[in-house]
Parts: sequence; structure tokens; C-alpha cells
Amino acid sequence: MILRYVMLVASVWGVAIALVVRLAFVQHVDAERHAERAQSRLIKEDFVPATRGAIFDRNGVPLVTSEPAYHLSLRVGYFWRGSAVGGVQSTLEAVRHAMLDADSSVDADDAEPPGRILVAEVFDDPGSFVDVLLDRCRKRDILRIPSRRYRWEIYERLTRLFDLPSRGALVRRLNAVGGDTTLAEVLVGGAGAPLVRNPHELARVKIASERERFGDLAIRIGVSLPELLDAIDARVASVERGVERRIERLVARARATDPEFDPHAAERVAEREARADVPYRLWRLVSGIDQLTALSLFLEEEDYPGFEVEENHRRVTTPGAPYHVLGHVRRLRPEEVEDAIEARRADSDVAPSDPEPQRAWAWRRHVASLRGEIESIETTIGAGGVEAALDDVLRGRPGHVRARRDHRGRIVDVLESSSPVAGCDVTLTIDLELQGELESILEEGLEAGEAGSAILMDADTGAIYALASRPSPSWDVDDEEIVARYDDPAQSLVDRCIRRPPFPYPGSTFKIVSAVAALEEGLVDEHTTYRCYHCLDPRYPDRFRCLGRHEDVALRRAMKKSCNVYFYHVGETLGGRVLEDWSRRFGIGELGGIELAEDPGRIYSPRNKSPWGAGDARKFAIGQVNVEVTPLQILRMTVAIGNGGRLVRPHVVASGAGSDSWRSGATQRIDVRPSTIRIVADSLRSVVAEPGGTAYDRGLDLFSAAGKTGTAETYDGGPTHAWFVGYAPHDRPDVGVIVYRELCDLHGGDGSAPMAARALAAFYARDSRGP
Amino acid sequence: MRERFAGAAARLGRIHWPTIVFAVLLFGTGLLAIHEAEVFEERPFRSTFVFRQIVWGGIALVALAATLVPHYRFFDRAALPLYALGVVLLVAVVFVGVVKNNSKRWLDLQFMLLQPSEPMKIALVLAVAHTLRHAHLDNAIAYVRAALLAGIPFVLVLRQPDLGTALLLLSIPVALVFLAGLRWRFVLAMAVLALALAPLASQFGLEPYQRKRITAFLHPDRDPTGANYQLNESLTAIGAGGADGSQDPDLLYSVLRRVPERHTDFVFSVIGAKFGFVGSVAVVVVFALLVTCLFGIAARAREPFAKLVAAGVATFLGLQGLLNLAMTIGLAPITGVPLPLVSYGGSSLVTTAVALGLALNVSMRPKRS
Repeated sequence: MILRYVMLVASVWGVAIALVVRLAFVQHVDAERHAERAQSRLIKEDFVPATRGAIFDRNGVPLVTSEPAYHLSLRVGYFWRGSAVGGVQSTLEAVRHAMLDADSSVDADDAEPPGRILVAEVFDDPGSFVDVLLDRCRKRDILRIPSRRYRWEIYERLTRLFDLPSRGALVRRLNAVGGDTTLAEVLVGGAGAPLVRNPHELARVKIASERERFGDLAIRIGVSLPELLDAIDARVASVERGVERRIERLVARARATDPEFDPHAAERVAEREARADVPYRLWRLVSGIDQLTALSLFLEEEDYPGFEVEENHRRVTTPGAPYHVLGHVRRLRPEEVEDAIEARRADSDVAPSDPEPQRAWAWRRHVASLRGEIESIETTIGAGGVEAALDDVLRGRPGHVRARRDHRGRIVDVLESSSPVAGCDVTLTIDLELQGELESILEEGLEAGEAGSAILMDADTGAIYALASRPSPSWDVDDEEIVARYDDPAQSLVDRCIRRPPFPYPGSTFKIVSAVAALEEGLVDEHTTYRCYHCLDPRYPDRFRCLGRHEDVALRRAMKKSCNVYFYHVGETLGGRVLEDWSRRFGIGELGGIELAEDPGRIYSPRNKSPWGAGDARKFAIGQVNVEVTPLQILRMTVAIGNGGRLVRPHVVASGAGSDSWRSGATQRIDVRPSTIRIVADSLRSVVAEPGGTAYDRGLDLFSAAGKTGTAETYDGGPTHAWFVGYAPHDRPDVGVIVYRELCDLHGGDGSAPMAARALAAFYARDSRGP
Repeated sequence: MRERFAGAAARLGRIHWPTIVFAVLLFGTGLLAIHEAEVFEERPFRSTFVFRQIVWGGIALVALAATLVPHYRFFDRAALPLYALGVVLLVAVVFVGVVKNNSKRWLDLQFMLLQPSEPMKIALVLAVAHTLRHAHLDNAIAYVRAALLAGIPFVLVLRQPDLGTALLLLSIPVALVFLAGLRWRFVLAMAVLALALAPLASQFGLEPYQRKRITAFLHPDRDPTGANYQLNESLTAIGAGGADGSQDPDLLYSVLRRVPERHTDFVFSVIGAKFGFVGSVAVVVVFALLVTCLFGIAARAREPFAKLVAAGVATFLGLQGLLNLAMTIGLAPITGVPLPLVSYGGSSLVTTAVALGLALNVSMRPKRS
């Protein structure tokens, strides 16, 4: 029988030996790895945001600059725990939670409605809150708080709130009374001397002094006390919402990936992860306090526990700077931060499901560091315009500090640090004054509520001098609102220079392409005539109409008069495919290369539209229905004629790190015969210079300009767009101009040509070359 | 009167002192570890747990001394009533128990929370020993009765749910039946049966979180932030201790801060971090020595009841301790069992003291009187 005892003892020692072997493995073989992990926990990385580069116009006038900005931020964790208000507030919340949670017998009238207690409420009516705390909260309520840790926290808060000698005193007193004793009775009565003589009064005084402190702070940063309190409450609430969203995301991820998903456990883990850094992070409370206040607050930060002054940079825009060109900067939305982290995480070699646990920890550290980095650049994400296009160049690189910290978060040793690298400045080709003038020309020329756009572009290089679009968002609109309206086509804030307007048909301006195509394909020469009956076929006077009865027209007069019938014939014979090829050669339906968020337009041809009839090709040739363009494309195409077939690359960035993109292959030559160009250019000149031309006597001849009008039909019975596109001077163009008026129901020659003339006048007034 | 004193003195002289020495060593180590676990709590009384543990130590000592007073045959007679009381308390938990962390294990006695599964361990040792005391090699009825005695609390505790304690309760009759002299072929048959039933039981008898812990144990890489969080943190703490412990307070803080339940179930992680390999091996060895002593007492006892009581105590303390140590360093799934004598916690400490008291009682009275 003794054998069996020996066996059991032997098995105990067997297990003990296994334990020792395992310990040897953990504490010798693996010790370094574990120690490294432990050390790395003490090392935290902070990021210093970089100054974003400035943007200048072509004359060096600043359009957008970055200036230091100061903000008052909240350490939510400290606020929750530290201040007297925070103390009352969270103590009440915990107690009320306990009262509601554990005891359903509390009758409904008696129970407070659930939800956060706001700081503003505490200040508004300190008395009632103190009364709830002191008279309604009983010992058993406190005992009912499920977590012991939290209970201790509440003892601590009560100790601070009532200036008790020690927490022990409170606990001893609580232990000595029955469960039904109210907190007030505990503090005042019970055995022995009262801990506090008049707790109600004391708490009220405490809250009042806290209120004074907040009031003082509010005055210093120039807001009213209610505003400050609302800001605090809103911030705390938004932090809470953010945490909840993160928990949801994490739980959803766990549900998707974990085969043995346990909602309870997953939620606990998610909550731990989501809340982990909340108390230690800074949350923006009031933006843009002035430098002097910021400095003084910074020096006296200790007087305002829970608040901190944060410094970063603010974008300052020069009045008149074009929104459509510049775009704006905005904060990353929380979900974008998550997405950015996901994206960066996917790039890195550290994977979350790495089988090696050490690597998985590395992954978590990696994610934490990514989050810090991404959030440190939160204000410098460009949205729209040059800010977005050259975001990489403008943004710079945030600096960082990797430091070992002690257990209270104080820096012990800086291991590694780098200064932020400021973003590069960028100079644009935009001329701020010309831009202003072009905008006012548009403003004056358009009727109220009418939309349109105008562009002035250097004909030789494609540098854009001015780019005006109406309606335009003003700078004082909220970031988010701009984004919402800008992205929403129905909101008509769309940039009508580089995006397709509604019914984006070029109308007769497209005849330039048709003419070139017809000549190049050998279909017509300059003497070929077609007969115009005010319509294509006299038997059907209502179909395929023309604006006038031009009788026998050859190409030059067809362009000058803008005869549709001529081009119906051209289109029908050329066919959709050939027209599409030529359109693309002239950059229509293609991206032109401008740095902004350009629209490539769209071409319908037999390749992508079916059925395709003869009518489609005819419409195509006069720039209706089957070709959708942006004004910039039409301008670029027209200027190519003036340049003798050289297609420029439009651009707004003149110099700076982002300018390389256009310098290489800035222009391309279209393979056309010089005679073709000469014939078409001559016809464009006749539009402006000869009596009977659609843009004759509109002031354009003063600059010896050439161009083409367009009157685009939109929908059945709808108003027309008025176009004028041209360049000046016609023999060796300096500048290209386009004016587009949306749905104005005017002829291009009447509606747009006079404004184009004013734009040219404005250009030459600033340009020494002169007409 | 004088004879009685003389008798008491003689009995005290025969008490198994090494057991007491090892127990005190473990308790002392526990106090150091609990203190360490609390160093970073920023509270006015940061050593409040150490202080309470000392108070509980005093109470446990009194309980131990009280257990030594009557002859162990008294416990033989009281075994079944005590067992019945234990079952009643466990049943009471089902109806009026306090729920914490999704399990219902406690009774609220106003001044403290009682976990009836703790005294049940002792009551079960006594009851099984009582049942098997006259058992001969082929007394099947006694074995069946022992199994039934264990079955009731096992099911009740498993449903709380508390897998760790339930398995401890089950281990008591298994070990005692084995020591009572069950034939080897039945021993083998039982072992085979247990192995065959284990997967089935895990499928139908366990809560999802328990299954998850076992999965996590078998596949430690699957989810480092979730189920394995505790284990990984515990391993980091122990590993960071290295060969002779970590003295850097910031480092200790950074690892211990994240060890869950660091003064109760995971107290061994604190020992590993603070005292290193030397300290942890010392705890393992002392614990094994303590269990060896207890089995030694059992082996030397003369009466079957005494043998079985001491052996039962040795079994559940040994299993509980080894399970706790193994789980802390990733050799067993995580079950919430404390390390006897070391972990912070009043009811566990008193239970352990009473159990040790029973074994020491046996050691004091080696002869038939």
C-alpha cells in the first residue's frame, strides 16, 4: 500500500520538475525577450507636428501660410478623476449606477433618468447634486458598486471632496454604520466626532470655488463660462462616443475573425483596448487661443489641472485666394484614422496574426505608434485643390521623441528624437490679382444665381493664370460643410473649370476638332461645300437644324458662321470612331495633367454606345450629346490650334518640389499637317475679325484674338450654355481664354465673348507684352 | 488535569514541524509578493492587502489551532453532517448567490463574501475518508458512495461555473479511492474511461469561456490580446525577472501593472518578476516538500480514516497549487484557483489552514489510544 503513496509523491515531484524546467526556459532562455518587451513598455513615442508648407502665387504673394496656433486641450482622464466637479460628478454617476443597476425596487419616480451628468448641470444647481449625493446615497448603494477598485476610487473622491483627514477615516466610519445610513449621516453623525460639520455647505463651497476657477479660465481664453462648460461636456461626450464606436468596431472584428466568439469576453477585451489610452490623451477643447494667453496659461498650467495648452499650426488664407485651386486642410475623421492605420499596417511586415507571440506584441506597439503619428498630422490633411494634390510635399514630416518614462509617465531618458521637417513651399502659376479680376468679371457678367467659369492660361506653357468658377464656396464655411457640398454634384459647388458641368456639351466649340479631323482624313478640303437649308434635309425642316440658312458653305464660312449642316455632313462621313480618335488626340476625354482633381470627360462612340446611328455621328461633330467635356479641355484643344498643333499641359504649380511632374513631357505635338492648322486657325480668326463672324465686334479684335463660340443645347426645350474659347494674339498666342456660362440661354457670341474680351483686357493690363 | 496538559504537550511534541515550517515559508513569501503587487497602487494605504492578509493569517492560525484540539475521530463522526452543511451552502449559492464576473460562487454574509466551495473541499475530504475508512479491496458499494458524495458538489460547483474548483473536488475521491486500495485493473479501467470521456465532457459540460481558455491554452498564438492576454502578461512578468529577479521599480511596474489578479491567482507572476528563477524555483520546491510531508503524514498514520484525511488534504492542496503554478507559466489552462498559502484571500487561507490542521492533527496522534 505504501507503493501507492510513493507513486503520488513521485508524480508531485514529476510535475514540480516540469515546472522548474519550464521556469528555466521562461527565465533563462526567454528572459531577454521578455525583458525587452517589458522595457519597451516604458518607452513611449510622441510626435511633433511639422509646419505645413506655404503656397504662393506667381508673383510671390502668399496665398496660404501656416501660423502657429494654440489650443486649450483636456486630459479627460484627469478631469474625470481630479477636479472637485469631476469628483462630485463621477461619484454621483457611480452611485446612481449602483442604485439603478442593483436595485430594481427603487420606484421609477425616485430613480434618476440614466445618462451622463454634465459639468454644466453640476454648476447650474450644485445644491441638488450635493443633496442627491449626501441624502439619497446610502452605504448600501456604495457597497453595491460591483468593482472593489471603483469603490476605493469613490472613497478617495469623497475624501478629497470633503477634505477628510484620510480615506481610512471614511472607511472606518462606513464600517461602523448600518447599510441604510445616508452619506450625510455617516459624515456628520455616527459614533465619535463628526468628520465634517456641514458637508452640504462644504461641497457647495468646493463646487463654487471650482466654478470660479473655470470662470477664470473662461475669461482668459475669451469665452463665456457656459460656453466653456458646454465645450467640456461636448468633448467628454464625444470622447465617450468615440470609445463606443471603437468598441463596436473591435467587437465586430472579433466576431468576424474569432471562431469561438464570446460576446461577453470580446466586449471586455474591446473595452480594455478602446479605453486604454483615453485618459492620457489630449482632447482639443477650444481652438485658436491667442499666443499671449497661451503662453501665460502654459506657465500657469498647474493652476488649471486637467487642462493643457497644445501648439500646432493653423492655415491662414489670403483674402481672394481661389478656393477651387487651393482646396483646404481638414482633420482626419476617426474612421479615416482607423483606415490609415489599417493601410499602413498592411504595408508593414508585422502582422496581427503572427504565430510568434513576440511579433504580435511588436504589432500592437507598431499600431500604437502609427496611431500617434497619424493623429499628429491630423490637421494637415489636404482636401481638394493643391492642398490635396501636393499633400505629400506640403505636409513635411512630423518629428518624434522616443523616451523611456518612469511609471508616472515622466521622461527619464530620451532615446531618440528627431525635429519635425517643415513641408516645402509651393509657388503657383496663379496670379492673385488677375484671379481676382477674372472672378469679378465672372461675377459682374453672370446674372444672379447663374453658374459659369472662366480660365486664362498661358498659351505657350499651359501655366494657368486664373481659374474662376461660380458659384464658389467662401472660406468661412466650415470644413466639413465644404466637403459635403463640394462632393455632392447636386450642390452645384462643383468646380466648373476642371469638372464636367451639368449637360457638359461643348457645342460648336467642338467643331474645331471636327474640322481638323475632316481636313486630315482628306474628306474635305477648304473648297468643299455643303448646302445648308436651315436644316440638313429640306424635307424634314425640324430635324438636324442649323441656326441660319447658309446656302453653300465651305469650311471657313462654316466655322465663321458656325454652320451645323456642314458639320452634320462631316460627322456623318467621318463616323464616330474617327471623331473619337481625333478628340482624344486633342486631349478631349483624357486627363490634361493639371494637378487638381480633374475630370477626364467622356466620349460616346460606336465603341461604347449602341445603337449608333448616322444621327449620333452628326451630333458628335457639332459637339452635342456624344461628347462631354470640361472647359479646361476645350481651352487646351483650342490653344493647340493657335500653337500650330502643340498640345500644352495645363498646370497650376510653378515651382517647388511638386513641379517636376509637369516639366517632363510638358507639351506634346499633335500629328497634323501645317496646312490643316493654318486653315482652321484662319477660320478661327475669321470668327472674331470678320463681319458676320459669331464673335465679331465683341471687343476681341482689339487683342487680335481668334476663337470659336459655342451654343450648346442641353435638354429638350432647355436653356443653352454659352461658350467662347480663344487665344490672343492669333498669330503667336500669349494667352488662351475660355468663358463658359451655364444654362444662360444666350448665344455664345453674345453671352460669353464679351466677357472673354474683358478677361483679355485684364490680362494685358497686367502683362507688359501688350496686344 | 495535569495529565491532560502533559498529554497535549506530548502530542504537540509529535506534531510534524517541517510541515509548519514550509507552510510559514510559503505564507511569508506570499506577504512579500502581495506587498510587491501593491507597491504601485497610489493609495494612502497602499499595503492594505498585506495588512489584511496578516489579519487573515492570524485568523487562519486560530482556525488551525482549533482543528488540532479534538481527536481526529471527532471529525470522523462529524464528517457527514459537515458534508451536508457544505451541500446546503452550495445549494444556497444557486438561489441567493452573489454574481461577480459572470459566475455565481459567493454568499453574502454582510461582513464578508463566503465562497462555500472552499470549505466544501474539506467537508468532502472528511466525508470520503469516512465512507472509505472500512473499505476493503472489493467493497464496490463504498466506492460508489464515495463517487456519489463527490458528484453532488462537483455538479453544483461546475454550474457556478468554476471548473478549477470542480476538478479539485473530483480529484479528492479519485485519489482516496486509489489509496484505499482499488484493484489495479479497475484503476486502469477508470483511467481509460476518463480519457475517453474527456472530449465529450469538454464539448457538453463546459461554458464557452472555459472552452475558449482551453483552446487558448492549446493554441497560444491565436489571440494574443484576448484569451491569452493574462497568460502573456504573466509570462512577460516572470520572464522579465530573469535569473535573480528584477530590481528596477519602473520595469517591475510596467510588467506587473498588466498582470491581472496579481495578488490573488497570479501571485506567482509577482514572485517570478521580483525574485527571479531562484525565487520561483524555491517556491515550487517548498511547495512540493509541503505536499510530500502531507503524504508522509498520511503514510505514517495508523487508522484508515486518518490516512485518508491526510492524503485527501495532500491531494487537493497539491493539485491546487501545482495547477496554479502551471497555469501561471502556461503549462495548464487558466482556471481561477489560488496558490494555497501564498495568494491573497481570506477564505482560501482559512480553508488551507484548517486542511493543514487536519493533517497535523493526524500527525500528532500516530497511535491508537
